[in-house]
Amino acid sequence: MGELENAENAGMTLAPMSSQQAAADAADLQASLSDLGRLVAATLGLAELLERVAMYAAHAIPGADGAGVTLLRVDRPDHRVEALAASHPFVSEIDQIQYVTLNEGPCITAALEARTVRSGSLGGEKMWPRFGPRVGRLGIHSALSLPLLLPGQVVGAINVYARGKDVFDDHAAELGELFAAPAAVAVHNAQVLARALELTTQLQTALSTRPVIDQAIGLLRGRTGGTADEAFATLRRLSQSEHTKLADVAKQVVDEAVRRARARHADRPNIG
Amino acid sequence: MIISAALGADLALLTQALDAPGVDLAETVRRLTGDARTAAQSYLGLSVAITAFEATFDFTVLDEGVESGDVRTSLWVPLTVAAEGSGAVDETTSPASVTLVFYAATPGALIDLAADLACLTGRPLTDFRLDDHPMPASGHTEPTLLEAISTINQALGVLIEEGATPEQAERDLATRAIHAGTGLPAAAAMVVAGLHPPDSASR
Repeated sequence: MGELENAENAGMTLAPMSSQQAAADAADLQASLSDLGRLVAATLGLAELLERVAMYAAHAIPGADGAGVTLLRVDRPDHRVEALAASHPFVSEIDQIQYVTLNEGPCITAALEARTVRSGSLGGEKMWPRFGPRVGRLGIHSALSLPLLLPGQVVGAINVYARGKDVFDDHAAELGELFAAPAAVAVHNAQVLARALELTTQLQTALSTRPVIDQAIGLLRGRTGGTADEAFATLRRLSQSEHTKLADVAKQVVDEAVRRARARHADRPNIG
Repeated sequence: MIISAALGADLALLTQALDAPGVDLAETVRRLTGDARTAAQSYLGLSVAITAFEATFDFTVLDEGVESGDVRTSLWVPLTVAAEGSGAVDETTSPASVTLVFYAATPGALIDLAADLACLTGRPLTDFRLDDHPMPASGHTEPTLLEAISTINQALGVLIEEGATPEQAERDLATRAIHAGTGLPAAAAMVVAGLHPPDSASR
């Protein structure tokens, strides 16, 4: 049994609460964890999986109006975003402010410090003096950010937002952390798969295009006596000026030469 | 993880063929390695073998200081890469055959990853074979023949430019290799070397 399935049962450990709301919250969390367990059996790509996780997070955490999931490289100064997804368009707008415009906000803090962070009044939030007021002006006042933790590493964060003030309390944070634990495994293993497919697709494409590029390089070298680098630069210039893929330009060069050669031999069948 | 000079040269050759700004196959390998290390704590390395378009490219990258005897478990991951939409010149060619193997030091370390990858791909868990393949060679794989293949294709281009059809160019190169008592790569290198200066290329 995988980590995902083990973690799916984490909701059962949530301490029972006396109110009906607490019971409903626990039910929402359990439903979202079950959804999380099922979605990985649905053969999703990384982007789609992240979007589903964001939707389930918004459903699991009481008071949430929207959520996002971001995979970050916290070992880089620019906290490079590897992938992200949002449950609602307004979350995407906040992501843009956080990662592109300001490089500041709850997700970055949660990921860098490997801890849950929250704010009930973003407009006056001292932790993010530029991000908070910008997002507050959008009418979003509460944020809860949960790091996606794996042993020895933070791989990103789940960000949950609400329009009201002071929406996310300790209970919401506890529920969020219970959801984030299996979500971290799910999204990271999806990332491993996505990366493996990225590598092998790139290798396949390169293996398919390299031969014709090399033949075109040889053709150009035969014409000019130049080096391979010079011939490649010529191909690249042609590619750029014609707005055509390098491999397609190379294929045109080779096809034209082959056509000439075949025509020559058709005209003079005894030669060659 | 160490990328040997030979592997680095091959990856650079293939990266150049991609002609995609910002894409560096060596960096993609490093990132996959980093992600795999996070997924399996005692991760030691990985192997990739891809056969496509009549060419096979394979390599193994192990962490620094790792010997094949350190590997106690492995996970064979089946991957299928469709040719369509890949940017391939010949999209009629069948999908590539791809083998990806992860290696780790602790028996059982890759079981959970196998289960989750099975879920993610919708494949049966039995498709993800644990400890069911040869262990990697000590250190790094030998340099591949990519550079030699590149030289052969360049030589074919030279001969086509001189008026040969592709079939004639292949025969010509094979004949040159026989006459010179060498392999195709060496014969191809001689053809290409004969281009400098251009006048000396005449046969």
